[in-house]
Amino acid sequence: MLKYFHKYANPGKFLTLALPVRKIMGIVSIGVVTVGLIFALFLSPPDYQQKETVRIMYIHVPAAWMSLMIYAFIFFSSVVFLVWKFPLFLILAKESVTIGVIFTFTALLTGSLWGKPTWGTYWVWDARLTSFLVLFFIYLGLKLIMDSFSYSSKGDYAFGYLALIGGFNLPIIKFSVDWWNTLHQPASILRTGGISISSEMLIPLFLMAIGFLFLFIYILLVSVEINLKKRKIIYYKNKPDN
Amino acid sequence: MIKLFFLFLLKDFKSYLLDSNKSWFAISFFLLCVLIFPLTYGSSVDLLKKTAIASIWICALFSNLISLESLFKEDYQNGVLLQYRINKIPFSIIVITKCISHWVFTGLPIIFFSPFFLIFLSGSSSDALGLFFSLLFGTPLFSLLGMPIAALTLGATARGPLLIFLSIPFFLPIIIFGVLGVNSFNSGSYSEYYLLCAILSISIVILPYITIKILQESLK
Repeated sequence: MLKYFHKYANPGKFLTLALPVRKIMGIVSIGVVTVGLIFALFLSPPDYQQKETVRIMYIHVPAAWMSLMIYAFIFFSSVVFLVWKFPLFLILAKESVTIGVIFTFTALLTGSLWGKPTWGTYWVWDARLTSFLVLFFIYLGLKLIMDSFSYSSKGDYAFGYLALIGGFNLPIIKFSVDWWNTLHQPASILRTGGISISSEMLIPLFLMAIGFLFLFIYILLVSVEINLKKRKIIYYKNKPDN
Repeated sequence: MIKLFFLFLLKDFKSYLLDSNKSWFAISFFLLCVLIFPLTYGSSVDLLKKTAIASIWICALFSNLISLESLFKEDYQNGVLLQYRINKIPFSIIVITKCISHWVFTGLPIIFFSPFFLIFLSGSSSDALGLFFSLLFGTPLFSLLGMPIAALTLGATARGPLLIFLSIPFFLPIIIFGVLGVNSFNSGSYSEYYLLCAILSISIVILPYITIKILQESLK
């Protein structure tokens, strides 16, 4: 396991592996998201209380899951970068930030649009919503700190440590609905006592979540490839022989 | 080690006391900030009474943010930090003394002046004790949390705005619990204070360690 890990942490080797994976992920994610959307918008039943507005859930919940997952990914990649100094993991973490910002913004926007018909307000300052907004600003901070150093190596370490400190927010977001009385409903998938959601709604939800996950991997691999090729170009331009 | 610690603490205190810019800046900024709230609310005394605690917390936040910028800046630019590294002085001493002196000159004056400002803003002193304790647990957290972020942004272009943008998200939980704690202090529930104490005791252990790592990384 560790042998393969070391082998594919080399950017060149990683690219040879990433190319076929990227193509598969691109096709599969489009297919899964399309099927998931058909299930979510037409085949799944409307909720007995919320009527048709429940369909916002199929975008809102996977987007929120993805933004948490992407932050966890950034956290672990920057730990790997800080401990073992693999430059590939830094590039992976850096390229995930923009995607994370977009998913977080999507979750916040769809959440507030869903809040209007069900809660009667676009925004409340309860624990879940506030901690999620803090996550959004931590993402923006990561985006800002990347390009604010004239020597990039200093910026790399600053990025890694900031991602490390910002990780405190993840457990707060996850457990905020259990620790405080919030207007946001408590967890209904990952909870003690099993899943409390009917399978007709669970199938499109999981389809959308898997589709979003594949979409994230696809975008990430494309942007990592662009980043690595850019570095190659800069390297050859600055080479003293030419 | 202990002798070195007190030597550095004395040095930091002296540098604060000799430079009147540094020592008076935070507290005078706090005074100026507090002045804004009564002026912007116009003549509505009711609103001022309700928001007195929140406005004092906001002013404490702002004066901390403003004074964070000078935390490691001078030593870094003069090359003093590099000299410490070359002479093998443990960074733990430097970081902890910096944190203590920063809190003594920005947090402590605010804590002692806050009850007077509460009376000045709201006209009653019923929440003064609660505010005192919440600031007592909150302002060290401002200094502790600001320390790694101030170390991170060393050497960045446009450091001041970046530092403020990065530190506010981390300060938000402290403000939330601090203000909530004062509101429920008189009804006899101290849960937010316990939470602040818990965060403080974790931060004292972890954050100086992270700051040391970041400083060593920034000098490479």
